[in-house]
Amino acid sequence: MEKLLEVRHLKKYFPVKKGFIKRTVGSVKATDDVTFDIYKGETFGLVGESGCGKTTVGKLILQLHKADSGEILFEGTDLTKLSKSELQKYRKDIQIIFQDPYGSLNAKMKVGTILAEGIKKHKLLPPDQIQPRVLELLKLVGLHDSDVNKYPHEFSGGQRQRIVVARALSFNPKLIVCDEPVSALDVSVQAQVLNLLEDLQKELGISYLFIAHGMAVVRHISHRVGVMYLGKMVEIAETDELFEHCGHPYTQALLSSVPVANPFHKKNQIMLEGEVPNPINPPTGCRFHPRCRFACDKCKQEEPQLRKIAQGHVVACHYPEKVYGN
Amino acid sequence: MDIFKKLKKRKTAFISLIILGILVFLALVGNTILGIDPFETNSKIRLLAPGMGHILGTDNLGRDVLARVIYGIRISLAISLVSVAFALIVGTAIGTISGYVGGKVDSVLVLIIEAVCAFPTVLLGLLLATVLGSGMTNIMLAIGISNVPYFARLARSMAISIRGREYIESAVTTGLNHFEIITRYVLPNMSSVIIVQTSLSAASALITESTLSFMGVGVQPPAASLGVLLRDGYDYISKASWLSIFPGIAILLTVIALNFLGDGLRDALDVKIRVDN
Repeated sequence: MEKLLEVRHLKKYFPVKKGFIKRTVGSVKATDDVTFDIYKGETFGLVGESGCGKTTVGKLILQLHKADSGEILFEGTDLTKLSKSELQKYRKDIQIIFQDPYGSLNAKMKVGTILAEGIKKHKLLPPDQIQPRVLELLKLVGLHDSDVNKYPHEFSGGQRQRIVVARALSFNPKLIVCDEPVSALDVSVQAQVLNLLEDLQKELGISYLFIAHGMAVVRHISHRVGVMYLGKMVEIAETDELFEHCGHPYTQALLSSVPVANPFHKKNQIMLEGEVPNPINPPTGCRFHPRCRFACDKCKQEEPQLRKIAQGHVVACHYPEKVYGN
Repeated sequence: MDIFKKLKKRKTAFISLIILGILVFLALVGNTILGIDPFETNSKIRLLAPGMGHILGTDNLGRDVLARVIYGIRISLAISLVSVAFALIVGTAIGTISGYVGGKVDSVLVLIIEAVCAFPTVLLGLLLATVLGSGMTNIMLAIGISNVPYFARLARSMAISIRGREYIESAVTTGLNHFEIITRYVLPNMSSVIIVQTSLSAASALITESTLSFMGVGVQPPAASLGVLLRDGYDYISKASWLSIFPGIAILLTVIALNFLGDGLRDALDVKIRVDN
């Protein structure tokens, strides 16, 4: 398969400022040397705890934040090196769906205006074809023609999220960054939106970067999954491989936290000890070692790099065999 | 006119709007229609009590009080509206830029805003009157400048909260430039708060104008604002109380109407609030 997006050694540190003169006293290592690929027509799931840098990765790809170093190659072009006007051409190709459908729509704009905004800005269609396209988009996400003159507050959360999806689609994007698109919705509506996303992918061949913390949702929708911990990518594998044979103790702990709908299911959940370390001052060596069951001296000193343990499966752990295959 | 319909349902606000409409109408053409002249003196009818002929009485120079109150409303409203319009445009622009851009620009602008805010309006009025001389333009400027910080602070805090919203990020990913984002996303979302502030500021500007004129640094005779009329009537308060009572009532009515209108507008402009009753 063809690569659509290649993220190489992406770094973003947010400075922590203190005092009257705003002296920089440290930095939050939100994204620290992250590397992964997204193929055309694929859904890449990105999971991890809150604050591990998933959202930052998404926003870096969208150029909402400027990366400190590293490359973001979109169809071979490095987005981080583009000037503002050059970037403009790529804006329409990468879109975003946010977590909160209440915050992501301009309350003062009618749905029709919201959906036409991008088409007008990028002159994707001649003026007389904009309105038919807007109605087509509404139909695509299962809303009515009459909704075009309504304001966002007149819709429910699920409907609003579908408007957000329609807005993203209005650009005919190649990649959509879905930043926890269903976590704010209740379960029945979650399924609606997820199925919509899947159908659209089959129809239009869009790639998704699907950021989430719910493992069940990620398993349902993703082709491949990357696991992040404290700004680092710790494991990447195909979905089935990851859920059947994970190679990182952290992934194992995450997977064991997925509830099983069976009262007789024997629980062998791995409880992680301790708190998530402070990303301003992450642990030495392997960042997971203070909470890892298998940690030894090597883990405290030497930082593990991502290495291949099976076809399409990379893990950043010194001792993946302790988890892999068990 | 959706907003007008909603406003109609808020009784106090709607009545206030009608009162303001009448006041503005009177101020513009009242004296012409009634055929009375606020400047015509007549020593034979000095300090005439309200009654037939001169409905609100006459003052110490025999001028018709009704004509003078109507004229005073015109001057006072004009000063208050012009100065608030000035504050609205300058203050909102400064505040929006300050909040939207952030960083050093924000720090500097906030410092300026706070510095202006540290001057009491009356003191600023006195200062400008001393430096530039008293008169209508200067009093407008003084009230305008002293109202800038209110709009600037409000716009700044709104811009900061709006800037962090996700729809701004989606506007960025849409490829809109800063000007488009400010005019199409930031300003519309703060408009209702700003409009309410405009109405409330107009009320307080009217009071400030009256205060300054009462102190003698505002509008100079023969022009007369409501504050000047109060000042003139003050000398005769025990003999001819109607000289101060009627301008006072005019101030009261205008200020209350502006305040109620502000409240009503806030509800009417909020698309999320349905006005039922």
